[in-house]
Amino acid sequence: MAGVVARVSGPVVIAEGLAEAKMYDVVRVGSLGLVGEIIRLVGATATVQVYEDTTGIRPGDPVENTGLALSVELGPGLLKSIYDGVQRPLDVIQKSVGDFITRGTFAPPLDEKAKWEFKATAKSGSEVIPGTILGTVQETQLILHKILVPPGVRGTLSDLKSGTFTIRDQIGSVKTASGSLPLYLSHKWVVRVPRPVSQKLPPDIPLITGQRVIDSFYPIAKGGTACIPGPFGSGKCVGGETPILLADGSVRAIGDVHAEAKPRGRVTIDGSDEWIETESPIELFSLVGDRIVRSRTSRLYKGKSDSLVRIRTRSGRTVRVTPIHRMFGFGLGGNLRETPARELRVGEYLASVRKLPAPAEPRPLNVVLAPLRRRGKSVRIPERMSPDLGEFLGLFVAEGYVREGRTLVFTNSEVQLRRRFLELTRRLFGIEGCEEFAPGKTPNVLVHSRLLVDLVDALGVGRSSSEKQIPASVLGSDNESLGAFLRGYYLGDGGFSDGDVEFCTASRRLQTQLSYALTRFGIVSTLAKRLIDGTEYFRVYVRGIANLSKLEGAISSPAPKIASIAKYVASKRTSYTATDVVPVAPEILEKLYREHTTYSSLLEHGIEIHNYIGNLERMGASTFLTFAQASGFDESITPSGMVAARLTHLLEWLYCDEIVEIVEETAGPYDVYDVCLPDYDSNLVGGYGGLLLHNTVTQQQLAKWSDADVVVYVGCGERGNEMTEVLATFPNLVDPKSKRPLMERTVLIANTSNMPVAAREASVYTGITIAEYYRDMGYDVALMADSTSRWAEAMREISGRLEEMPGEEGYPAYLGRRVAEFYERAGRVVTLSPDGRKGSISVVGAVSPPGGDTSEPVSQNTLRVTRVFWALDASLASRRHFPSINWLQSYSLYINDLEPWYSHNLSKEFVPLRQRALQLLQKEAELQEIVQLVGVDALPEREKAVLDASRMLREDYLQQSAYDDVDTYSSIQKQYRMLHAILSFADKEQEAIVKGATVAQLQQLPVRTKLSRMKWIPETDLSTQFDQLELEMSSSVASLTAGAS
Amino acid sequence: MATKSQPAQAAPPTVPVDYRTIDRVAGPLIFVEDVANAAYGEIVEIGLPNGDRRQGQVLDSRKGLAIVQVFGPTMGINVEATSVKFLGEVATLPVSDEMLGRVFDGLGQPRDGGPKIVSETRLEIVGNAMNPYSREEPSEFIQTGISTIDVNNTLVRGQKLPIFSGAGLPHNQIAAQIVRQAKLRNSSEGFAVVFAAMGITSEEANFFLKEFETTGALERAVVFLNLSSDPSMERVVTPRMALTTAEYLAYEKDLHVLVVLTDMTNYCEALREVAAAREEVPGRRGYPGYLYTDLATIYERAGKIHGRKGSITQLPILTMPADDVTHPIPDLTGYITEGQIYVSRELQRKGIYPPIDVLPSLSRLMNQGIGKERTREDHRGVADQLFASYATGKDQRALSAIVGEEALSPTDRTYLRVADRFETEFVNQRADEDRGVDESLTIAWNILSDLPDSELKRIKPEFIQKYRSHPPVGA
Repeated sequence: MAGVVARVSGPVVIAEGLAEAKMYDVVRVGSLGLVGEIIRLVGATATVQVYEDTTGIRPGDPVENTGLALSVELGPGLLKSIYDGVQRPLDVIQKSVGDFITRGTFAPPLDEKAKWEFKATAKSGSEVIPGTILGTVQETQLILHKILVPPGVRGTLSDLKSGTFTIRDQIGSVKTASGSLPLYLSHKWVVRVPRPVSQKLPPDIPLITGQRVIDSFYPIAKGGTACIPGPFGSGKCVGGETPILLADGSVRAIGDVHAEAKPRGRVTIDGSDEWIETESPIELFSLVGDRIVRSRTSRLYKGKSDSLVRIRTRSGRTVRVTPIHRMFGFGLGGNLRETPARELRVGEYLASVRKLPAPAEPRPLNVVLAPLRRRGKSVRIPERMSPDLGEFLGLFVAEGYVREGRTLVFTNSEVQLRRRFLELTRRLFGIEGCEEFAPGKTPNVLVHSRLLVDLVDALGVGRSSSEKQIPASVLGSDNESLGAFLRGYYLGDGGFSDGDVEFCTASRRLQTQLSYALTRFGIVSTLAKRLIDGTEYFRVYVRGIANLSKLEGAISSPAPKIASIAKYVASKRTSYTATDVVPVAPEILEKLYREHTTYSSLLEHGIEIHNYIGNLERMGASTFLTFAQASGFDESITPSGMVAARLTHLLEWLYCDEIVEIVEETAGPYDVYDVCLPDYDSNLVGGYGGLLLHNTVTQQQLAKWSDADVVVYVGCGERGNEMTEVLATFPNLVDPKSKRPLMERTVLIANTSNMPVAAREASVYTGITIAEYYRDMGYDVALMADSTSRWAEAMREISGRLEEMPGEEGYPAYLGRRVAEFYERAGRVVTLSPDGRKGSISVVGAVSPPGGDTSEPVSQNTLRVTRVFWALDASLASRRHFPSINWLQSYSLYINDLEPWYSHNLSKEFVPLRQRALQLLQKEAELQEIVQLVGVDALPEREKAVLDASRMLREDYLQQSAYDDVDTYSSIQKQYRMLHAILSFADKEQEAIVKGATVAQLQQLPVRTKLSRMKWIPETDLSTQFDQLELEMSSSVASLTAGAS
Repeated sequence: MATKSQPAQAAPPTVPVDYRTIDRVAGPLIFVEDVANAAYGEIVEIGLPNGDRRQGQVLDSRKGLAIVQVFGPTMGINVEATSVKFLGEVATLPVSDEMLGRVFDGLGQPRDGGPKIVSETRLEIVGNAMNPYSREEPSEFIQTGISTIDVNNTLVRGQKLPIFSGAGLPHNQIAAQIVRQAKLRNSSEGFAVVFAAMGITSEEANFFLKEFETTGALERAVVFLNLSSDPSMERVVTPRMALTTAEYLAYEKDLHVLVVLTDMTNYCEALREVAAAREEVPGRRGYPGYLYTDLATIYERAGKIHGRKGSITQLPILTMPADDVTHPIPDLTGYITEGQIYVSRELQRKGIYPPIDVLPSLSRLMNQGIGKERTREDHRGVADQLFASYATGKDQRALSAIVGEEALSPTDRTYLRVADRFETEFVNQRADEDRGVDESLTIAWNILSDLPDSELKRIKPEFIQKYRSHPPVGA
């Protein structure tokens, strides 16, 4: 396997003659055995990125391949360790080679001699799967280390024994299908591959950090991602006509949603960019992890773009987006990836929605109509949606119209259907209709009722065929009601021939809504448009056995038109459809097949695998699922297996839709819109960052105080002395809860700026892999990466040495993908385990944009994927306002998710208080503009009081000293009391002013000094001191006003 | 330094061979063909047709081709008759304590007419990275006698604190004043000074040399001079020569070394020249993509090590082209160093010396060096309060320019006065004025006491009581 060096240039070495080299294999270069990683292969020539200084390496030196990808060793002993970027323990290295890291130094990452007391909890003879807890080791006093069955191992446990072991001693074994595997206290994991999980959970528990501006104003959830600092522009937008589906069932043009929210929201305008913070959140749907769930947003954006890209897919879906808008598509391995629209090509696959989550129950109608009596009989109006009402509306939307503003007319030649309409009218509203026959015309059913016409209007059904739409109350109701609507609509306006169900409509809106409605049942529909006699007709097709059978299930009825679908479905055996395929490359399919199964076993499941790997036929989605079950690759731990396994989960919610047309429209400028879909696109407006920011303090504060169980701190390209500060302070820090040294739950990774650049590149992966390991045990882990800009620069530097074609600002073209992949490894999850343990990784990444200019690619790519933004502000730092987090530019998209937690665990008042505080600060910013022009004295006392209160908020609440023993950590209870105290003083201030007091007098009150010293009230004495403070506040303000009047 | 010695390299060619196979010469680079196996970083000796000898270093090595960067001019090198000898070793510098008091050129050759340094100890000039675990947290306060530095941006031993300046600003005077006055409080230990000049004018160099001579600092200084008239390629090695010397003095000879590097901008331009000649993919403003890493290998050689007595404190000086702080050099420097001293043109125009603007200045290690045991208990609070009050005062100044001073509230007018007094009484001092930190804090209290207690939010109440010099203005 040995090769030789052919070329050396800085950290890049080109080696020749390496047999069987694989990408990312670790190699050892030269006689010193410098560690490197293969990053490019051309024939037998390998490009190696060396983690150490290459001075002295010459052509002809030996290169040896270890055959393994860069891995970390995971087991007891990780905590309290200090590693470099490739998991070399710095303390051990110091002992062996001294104060400077000489090259080629190696030390085992975990102490091989340390003895651990292992208590077995699993029973020999039991069946184990990945994640089963074998037993425990008390790693430190704070953390009980759970020894897990490593991913990919399943079988029968044998010989598991308790006792004292080193990590090299065997503790038992597992009899797997392919033989017996020994078990140790530790195992290895490849750092660039995420450890598998069972399911991702929504982020609804805050990570408490003790930092007031974070916990109460801009919180991060456990499993969340945050970015410090930097503002950014936007641009990932869609055209104004683009429909979006709101969670209440309505399908609205994004431009209309924007226009409607504008008068009631907080609007920020910056040039042609316009931001709206809505009054109440807008509910949407988002893909979170492997499933589609409801999501919420409260930010809307409108801007201009010179061009738009129109994309049409095989199933007829179209969308117009800005060229840099990222679309979700599929890669060769079936991996979900984001690609800017302008880089998409015809023939690639986009992720379309297959299924949407359904509401549990029918929606109330909330319709108020003037009470009317009809010939002495009262007319009933149902209070909520029901299957009957759904079917009635379906029939009406298909074949009905309103005559002369007072009669509902239903036109159909089938007598059964007319009877059904009459019956439904009677049952629902207590009204009798009548039939109308005219020669040469289709018979009608007439229902004379102004009230029903009003109802049809109020529900938004539309009176004529071009106006008709599916009411939001139908789309927002349970599947039974929606199915009944579809049944009505199908019976009225649908048809079935040659295996195609066809719905015909005269409006594009109705077509879109029908397609969304079908999506609720997991039915993939195809959209088409046809011009007949100058009128556009829009069609929705349902094809393929799987889809037809779902449709039949949704609308089932004995009606002959539906029974014929059922008959057709029953007559066919295969469920193959030409459109519902998976775009997994044949090579990957072949790999999956060869690694996991045999030809004959697949054939038993009806899969002729050679059709897909030899004949290049696209594999259908359902075949793919069968393939997954038959071969078991969905439990694989190979990278391709894991990607494919994720696809099997995604296929429940998404399907792969081939792009058939891409047209760029350049007749702009166009108005473009964006909703900040918090779960995959969080782009918001911001201001500016700066060079002179002290961002490490905030991160270290987080590391010290956050209520995560385990903290992984990655110092990536950090200053040596600052890392020393971390190294020096951490061992002395005491955990606020347990009073034990904080190091007992911390892993530090230090790769200072002068250490080799390639190891810097690897360090974030080393960190997150260790974090994932503790997450798998069921712990909440916080990972701080400082700074990801340095990491990106390491990538750029290596890419430059490789002479790769540079992308934006010299960064490699794959920068965005790498950043997104890294943050995607965060999250609150159900781990792969028999007991469904939950764990989380919250990632806080610092970006330090050059010159503070956050329009650069690293900031941009980071902000796209993180959901909290703490805008560090240079002008605050120079004013020594710490933490220098700008309260107007920062945001947290978790606040809505976290609201229930705050209400339940703290107080229902808390979130409204926060909202008020933010409003005060916003008001202050507006008043400051006036003050700039006219001076403070020109303001009325009421507004002076606003300035006074917001100043208290800034100075007495937001400012927090990292160096003061008491102030450095505020419990959430204390934060609540402080906020409450300041805001109630603000209220009293306003009251006192009405009674004639002045702000100057109020500022003189002795209690003000006490308020400004609130931050030093110790945690142990909160309620007494705060109760007293609030009492004193009331009495002193009261005595002031008494004196004044 | 024994602890830094490398295990033996792969055996070098037994007898150095003279190659006469130069293919081409481009800028500072020569391309030598038919070289079997030059080591990356290997030192070469270049023999010119006229008998001159020059040194160079291998930048890229592959079978049959070595790219050599020449230290010094490439003038006179030709393709036919120039010989290149690969010495089989990487760049080293002989070091001894006899270097103190001497002046060398940018490559470590004597420039003062004295004898060559002969020493058993030869150190590789490219140092290994210090193990972060071995680093000791810098915590000893260095008193510079300059109020804005001592009180607001405290320098501590082992720190690297650059001076961000611009053309025509008195950064050299400030640096000289720091070198002259720097001392540990309550300690007579002196500093050794390692001074590395890269591409500065002979006038500036003479200023420093004269300054060192008159104050007697030269006896404890090692000076490396590469003037603007000297070959620019030497500048690439000059700071490494200086830091290698500094490491020797600090970690082997237990001295506290203050390293002054001026002007880092010239160093970076030399680096850009090499990158351009190699036709590398350029990064921002044509500087190489690895500028950050390269600067880090210089700046990060400051620090202290557990269990060793000496320390290295760095004071790099860089002039920002067009005062642009977002220029790649100050920008990247700011990300590596622990803060910066910002020299302001605005204050300079007002006739204030030293014109240090405290608002954009920062010392990230300040907290470790100040407080009860080290300077004074109220130091942190006073520093924060000064920053905050000065910032507010400057805002009021801008405001009063629009609305007039009369429109300001009484408190705001006090802030205005505080900002003025801060500049003229606190920032301003003579070039030979060595203020003790107590004296600086007293001046600060004298200014801050104009404000009422309720405005002094950054200072603990007990300290206000203890140190207030007079009742607030208007009370």
